[in-house]
Amino acid sequence: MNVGTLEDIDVKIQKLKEEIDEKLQLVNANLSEIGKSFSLTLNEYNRLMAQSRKLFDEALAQKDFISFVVKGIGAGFNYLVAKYKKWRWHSKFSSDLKNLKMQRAKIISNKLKDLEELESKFIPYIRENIETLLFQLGKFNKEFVISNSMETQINKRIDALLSNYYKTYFLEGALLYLKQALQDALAGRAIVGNVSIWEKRLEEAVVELKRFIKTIPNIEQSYLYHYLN
Amino acid sequence: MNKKEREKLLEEIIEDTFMEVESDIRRVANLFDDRKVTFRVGSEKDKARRNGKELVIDLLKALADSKEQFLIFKEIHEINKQMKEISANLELELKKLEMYGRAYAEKSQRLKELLEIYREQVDRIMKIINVLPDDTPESATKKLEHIDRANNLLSEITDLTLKFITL
Repeated sequence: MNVGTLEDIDVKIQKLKEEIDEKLQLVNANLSEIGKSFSLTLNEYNRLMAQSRKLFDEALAQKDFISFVVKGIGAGFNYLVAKYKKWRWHSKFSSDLKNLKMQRAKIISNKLKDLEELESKFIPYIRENIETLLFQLGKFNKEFVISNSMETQINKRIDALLSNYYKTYFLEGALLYLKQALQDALAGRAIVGNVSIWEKRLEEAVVELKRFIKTIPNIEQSYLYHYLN
Repeated sequence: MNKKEREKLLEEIIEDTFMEVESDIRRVANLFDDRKVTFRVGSEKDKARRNGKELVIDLLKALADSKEQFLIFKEIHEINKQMKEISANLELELKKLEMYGRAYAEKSQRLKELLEIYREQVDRIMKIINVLPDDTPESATKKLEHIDRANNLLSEITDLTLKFITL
């Protein structure tokens, strides 16, 4: 990936965000629809049970024995069947749902663990090394570079390193975005994708880079200083 | 024909038969009921016959009146079918999630291994760069080449890390 102009970055953030959101769908698939139709259907059993009860009571009130037997047995049977089915589906559905939620939480926490690890292990590592490389380029003496016409050569390297440095902030912003979304999903909240933290990290890149450049010793004599001014 | 199909067929037959027979039962029951049958009060045999006839009437009437019970029975079956569908949907979601979890674990493991390899290479090149001289055009060019390599590897690490985000 090559980080280009600011407009490019907007497009890239958008594109990557779509990819991230697509995966987030997997751990945030809307279960409320399934849950809703389940409880609606479960309520149907209640309705049938109540109806059977009513019919059973009616059968009890029958004066003649035969009507009582024929209607009462039918109603009683229906009542028990509905009750049993309701209980069975309810226990199956709740155990499946619990299973699914557990599975989901496991995946999300695995992901979060990975992201934390990447954030703490690789981002500082990449930045430190780029700073070291920039520092090495900064050690090139201005007079030496100009007299040997290495200027374009070095400019190319500085461009590449700065672009890479900037890219780490793009990465960090994406990590922050995803982490926030995953934490939302883990807490059972609706995921609100907030790209602003992502963009904020990109702005901070410029400030942090300037701070780093000031730490280079003999900055006025270094080629990096010459390049940046 | 398997068990399920047999059950289904049986259910259909019961339904059809019941609907057809229901009106007949009622008609026959009414027929018995309306007819002014006069019974001679007499022997025990006649009394038993009359009781038998009344029993049939009552039974037929009771059956005709239990249509509601039968419909409830049918409805329970219908709801059961719906429940099966909903439950299958949930199972599908669960299966999808399990598959995703496994795929993620595998890919993440591979990426982590790859990242470690890149890191080792970067460490090695950085050591060289730190000691390479840059005071002649030749040595400076050589140093720039190494800086290129290191930067490319670092860029690869960033890209691999970025891949993690869309896993």
